Amino acid sequence: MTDDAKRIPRQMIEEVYNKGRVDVIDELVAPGYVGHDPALPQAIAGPEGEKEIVAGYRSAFPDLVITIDDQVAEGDRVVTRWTARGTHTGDLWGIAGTGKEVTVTGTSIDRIQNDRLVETWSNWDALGLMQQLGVVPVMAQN
Amino acid sequence: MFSFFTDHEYMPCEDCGASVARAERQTHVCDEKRRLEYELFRLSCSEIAIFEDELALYLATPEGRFHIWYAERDRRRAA
Repeated sequence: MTDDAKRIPRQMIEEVYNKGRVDVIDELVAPGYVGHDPALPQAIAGPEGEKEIVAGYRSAFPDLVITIDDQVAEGDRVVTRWTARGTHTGDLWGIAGTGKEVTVTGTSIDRIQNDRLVETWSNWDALGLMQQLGVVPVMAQN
Repeated sequence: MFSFFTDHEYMPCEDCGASVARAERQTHVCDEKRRLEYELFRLSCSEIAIFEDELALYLATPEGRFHIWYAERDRRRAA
């Protein structure tokens, strides 16, 4: 299953996040899906929750492109190391568009069952995003 | 302490907004089209902020309050 399993997170990134094809989420995400992301106030619940998240990010970063830097699969889990780039022109969590281009890295672990995502654990550089947007000050170097 | 808060690997260029890697900061040259787009975006944001401030001031005047009341009256009649 390992190589075939990598296809699903890859499709999520390339079709859904990069092209905005939220309709594909219904094919890739199981009804009981749960997404864990410490940057979000609550877990992502099901395909509808995922659609909301993707729409939110693509509205804030319409030119969003995520590249896959590495993928490792074992059993029913796929680890994806990724880099996201985009220009912040729309509202993000109440932060009005800044016009700034940002680059953020992260790692996601997806659990897959019956060719669908059932659970994801993501950790990414939310502090770095806030620094790049100018929301969190970057301390001067001594 | 907190040295990890300094010098993020990528930071937007202050002139054109492009994401520039630490290693490229000294050699980065702004793309003119991007710089103009960034400048226009920032101007439009500040103009919107000015408009919202002016609107808020207007709505606080007797005339503004009348328009709020009148619009609300129309909305309720239509509902």
